Amino acid sequence: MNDIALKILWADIGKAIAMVLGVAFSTLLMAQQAAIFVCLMGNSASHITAAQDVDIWVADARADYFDDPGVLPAALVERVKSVAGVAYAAPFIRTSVSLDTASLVEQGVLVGLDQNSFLGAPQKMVTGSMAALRASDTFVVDRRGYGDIWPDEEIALGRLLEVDGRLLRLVGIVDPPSPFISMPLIYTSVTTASLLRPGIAPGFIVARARDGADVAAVAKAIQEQTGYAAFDKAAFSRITIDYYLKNTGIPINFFITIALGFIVGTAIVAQTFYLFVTENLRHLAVFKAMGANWRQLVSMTAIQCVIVAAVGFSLGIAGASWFFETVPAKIPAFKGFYLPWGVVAKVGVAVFAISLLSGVVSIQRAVRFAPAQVLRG
Amino acid sequence: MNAAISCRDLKMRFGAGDGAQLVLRGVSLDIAQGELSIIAGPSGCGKTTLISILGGALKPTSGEARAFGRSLSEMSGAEMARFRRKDVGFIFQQYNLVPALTATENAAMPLIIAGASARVAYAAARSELAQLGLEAHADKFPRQLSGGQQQRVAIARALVHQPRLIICDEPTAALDSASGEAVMTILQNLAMDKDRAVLVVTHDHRVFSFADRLIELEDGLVRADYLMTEPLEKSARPAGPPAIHGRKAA
Ligand SMILES: Nc1ncnc2c1ncn2[C@@H]1O[C@H](COP(=O)(O)OP(=O)(O)O)[C@@H](O)[C@H]1O
Ligand SMILES: [Mg+2]
Repeated sequence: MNDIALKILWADIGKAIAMVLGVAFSTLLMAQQAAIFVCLMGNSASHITAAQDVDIWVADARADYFDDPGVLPAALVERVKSVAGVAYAAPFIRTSVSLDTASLVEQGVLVGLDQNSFLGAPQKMVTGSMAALRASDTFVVDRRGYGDIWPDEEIALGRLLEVDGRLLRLVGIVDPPSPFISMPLIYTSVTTASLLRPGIAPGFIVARARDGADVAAVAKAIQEQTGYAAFDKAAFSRITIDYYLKNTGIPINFFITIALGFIVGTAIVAQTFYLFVTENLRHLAVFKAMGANWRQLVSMTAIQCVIVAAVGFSLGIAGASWFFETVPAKIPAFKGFYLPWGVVAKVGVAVFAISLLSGVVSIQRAVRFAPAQVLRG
Repeated sequence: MNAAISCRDLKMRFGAGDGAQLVLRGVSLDIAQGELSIIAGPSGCGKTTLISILGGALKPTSGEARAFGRSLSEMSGAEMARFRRKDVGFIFQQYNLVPALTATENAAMPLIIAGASARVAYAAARSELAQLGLEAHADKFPRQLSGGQQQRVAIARALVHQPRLIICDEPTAALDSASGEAVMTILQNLAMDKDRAVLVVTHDHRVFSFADRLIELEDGLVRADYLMTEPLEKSARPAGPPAIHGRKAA
């Protein structure tokens, strides 16, 4: 019965291809948009997850996300250090600065790191080193920022850049995961940051827990003993992502696109399935007259739907994978973007649901068809 | 008496209220195995409706219909489907072959629907096609076959599961007279099987001579019921109901 169903499906190859492409198109649309959304949201916290050596972020209780640092007293560092279970703590400065460049870039994000530990620095260096920041009036820039500040120029250390009116020398290039904000990242020591902005206070205190300590418990202890908010990495990522989810138009825009993908996909698939089943109604009715029961008719249609859905879904996911294989390497704005498995699975469920649903709706007519109608022509 | 199929005071009404139409107004008849029965009558007199009921595809409004000892009128939808699957071979007016399937696959459908494996079903279909002289066309699609050949594929499909009742609606309507006679000869040979009843609906006078039994329907009633016996041919066959040559039987 199943191979008969498939023979009937592929015999009308034009319609079969139309159905497969309909499924593939809506799969591609949904998977691509959902993946970009998930990656974008993930990026909003990428600096938190990328600062691998930081276990705990201490923040102003009013600061509700990473891109909105508070103002912490410098003395807080020592108080955090004194909490049991804390191995080390350091200030972490984050503020926006003006850049004087020959390119279009006018603003950057300054990240001031502790020059003893460089706690919170990205791990991946392209060239140079973080340790070179110990010399004053030096900076390290992220790779994408380098390309924006000096477009089409070769990678070379020693370049000079005016930051907030002060000339700094380039001593390294890092390759951090893609940030949510697309301004160049200017890493300096806390000392150099204080030269640029006299009296600047750390926005966060970053801390490392002792080996084997319960990080969540240590964070709780810091919060209780200092009165400041303290989060482990996962919690801090989460509140940052939540902030963007709640306070920007990004989720609703993506939601609209994903919903459109679903609606367009449903419309295309449902319509082609409906036409397909309608055209096959006569054969299904003949089978019914010959004694086929509704279970056989439904399973024939279901197998056709599942095959169309499987082929279309595979093509759509292949297309989306191809997008994420090639585009992020070429377009910096998509750096680090990928197709998460969760997205593939959820889109899969949606696509199979669409296909089966339209199949079931279409088959209703065949199931209701009176067997005697076939005899009457 | 070996009445394979019988009905008593069968009535069929379509629609309700003012639009209601009483298509069968009390049909009674008995059809024996080993006979080719022809139901004739003008268009719209209820022939197709009658064989739909006798073939287990339609429930009568009232009256009793029995097939092989069971009451068709009392069967549930699922039981009717099982009856059609097991006991009935339909040869539809427009052949109704599935264009996507080959002659073999089309002919195998009743067995596949009944749950036979593809191997068994295709083997049976091939042998049935070969007996109807379609060996060379077994792997062709309906569009590659002539009308007469398609009709024979439809016959093979009706026979493949060895049903006890064969029902044909206007089998010769779309055929030239030579093909029509060939098809009627096949049906006549099928009716030689003493376990099988063949019921043919037609208004084609040319084929009446093939019938063992001619039932004329008019306005939803049996107008005439003849046994058409030709002594020479009949003598070679098992004794049926008493032969009344060319006279009204009921
Ligand atoms: N399902 C149905 N609904 C309404 N009317 C029907 C239905 N089936 C048959 N009829 C009517 O019953 C009458 C007899 O039809 P049918 O049995 O097909 O006649 P025949 O086969 O002798 O030409 C026709 O007038 C037809 O319109
Ligand atoms: Mg008719």
